[in-house]
Amino acid sequence: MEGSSGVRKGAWSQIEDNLLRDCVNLHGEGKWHLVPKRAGLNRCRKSCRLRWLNYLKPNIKRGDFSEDEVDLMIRLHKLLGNRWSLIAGRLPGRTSNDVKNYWNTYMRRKVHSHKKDNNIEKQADEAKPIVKHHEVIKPVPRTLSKTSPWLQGKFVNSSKVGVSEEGATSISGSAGNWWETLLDDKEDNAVNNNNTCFFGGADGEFNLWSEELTSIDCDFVTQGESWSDFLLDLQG
Amino acid sequence: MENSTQESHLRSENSVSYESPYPIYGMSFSPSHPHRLALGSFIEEYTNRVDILSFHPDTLSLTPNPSLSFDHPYPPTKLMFHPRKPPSSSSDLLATSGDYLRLWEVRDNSVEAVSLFNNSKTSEFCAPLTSFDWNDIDPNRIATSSIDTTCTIWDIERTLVETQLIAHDKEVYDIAWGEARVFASVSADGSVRIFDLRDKEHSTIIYESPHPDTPLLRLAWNKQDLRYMATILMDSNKVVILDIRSPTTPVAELERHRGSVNAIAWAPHSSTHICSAGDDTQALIWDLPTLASPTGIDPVCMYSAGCEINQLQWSAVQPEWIAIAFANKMQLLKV
Repeated sequence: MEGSSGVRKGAWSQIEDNLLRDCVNLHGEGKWHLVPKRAGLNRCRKSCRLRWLNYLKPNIKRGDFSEDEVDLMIRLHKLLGNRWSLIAGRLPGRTSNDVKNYWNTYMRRKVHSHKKDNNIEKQADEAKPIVKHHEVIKPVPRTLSKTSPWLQGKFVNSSKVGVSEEGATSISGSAGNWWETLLDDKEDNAVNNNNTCFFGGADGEFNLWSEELTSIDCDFVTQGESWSDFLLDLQG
Repeated sequence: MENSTQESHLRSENSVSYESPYPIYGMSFSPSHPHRLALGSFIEEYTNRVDILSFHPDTLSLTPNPSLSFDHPYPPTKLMFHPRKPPSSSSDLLATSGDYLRLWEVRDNSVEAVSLFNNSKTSEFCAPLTSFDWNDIDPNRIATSSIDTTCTIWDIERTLVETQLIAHDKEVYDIAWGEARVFASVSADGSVRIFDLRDKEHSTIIYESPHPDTPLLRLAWNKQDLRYMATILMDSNKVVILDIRSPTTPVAELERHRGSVNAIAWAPHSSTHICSAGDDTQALIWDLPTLASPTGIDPVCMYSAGCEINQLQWSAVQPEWIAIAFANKMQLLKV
């Protein structure tokens, strides 16, 4: 995070907007930590990013939400709750800010009456889908080689863990052999496979990759959402 | 212009075109009716269509069958025919994804809605589905991927959820079976993960995109050699080839497209050929070498469409034909 003392806050001026727009048009989105310096802005990178994503991005739609958009928003909100970025992702040209503001301004009061309409629709729905209860499982992800640098220490809610051999699993305990179970099963099912191996483990290949790894930009803002929120949605 | 000495162009006499009344995206070849294709429209509204076409290789023509056209809510994100010929029946089963996973019976002169699948516990709506894959070893299973970060395994006959997994940290964009109980998926979180239904408590990350906020959009598992997969990154001209035995390090990155790659498909009959298509209007066929080349890999075949290619399918029944979709057009290319 940029030093907060001296950084400008509050409303963006037209000059600032132009500087930010020119910078993103020249360098593209991303690497927001470089944008204030490149653009000559006395702003923190988060402010630059939000200004671009919510106001300056060329494909942003202005004007009132259409009936279709509102209908879709209601359905998505029912599924996803107040996860505005996911909802906005399904409404082309709309920002998460727009969706949140629209919902909080217009929909909170209306949504109750909409549910009544929904009940009427539901009764008339001949192809009513079958809703069955089942457990939702969250597998623990693991990798079988070194952890990517950009994940180390960056995610409080990271679901990534190291290789675990504590519990007995159907996958071979040895990290080097986990994929053999997959291939063995393939033979059992007589899947056609000519066993062509078209890549050797060329050292040069891996060395090249390692070089790229060390140069990965580790500085980045996470947009991760809390898992507990999501789990509550699923269980509620 | 490409400098590859191996390069050859697909000529117009080896292609068949069909112009649809609307933009198209979803496509599927039927395994049980060799000359049948399904096309899904891509209209950004509720009302969309699925059309069934007949392909005539002798006259190089494609004809729609109006009695087999049907309404579909929202653009279908994926279309797929049943991977096997149904016993003692002339009808075909077609699955579509979108607001729900739906199953349709394609008969000789009509299409009937068979099943609608909902995995939501608390709502009459299902979280929007981004893609699905029909298990060709155990066709009673379909796996779907969703923007709600989950993957769901469906029991088709009983129209029930067999398993639902919170597979990723963000939206899941594509899913592919490797074999009867193993599938993989790609996500906006930038990872490729493999899941084994015999061990639902774990998944294995075999690749993460080099830039932390770059989603992975599509995944193709090489059915001729299950050690290899291909994936593409958002707004990238690369096709990343992965070996599941060497996690996190791609064995190759194919970088000859001059725009974003939108679709990839392994050859159904060769373990070393893969086709890719993208915003540079090109469909490229690559023959992957056994040793990594220091100068990068060049495609062996190139085709230029008139505009951005959005979708690509390589027919398993007639592997000499590849279907591409761009704007309102679908083209079959002979390779």
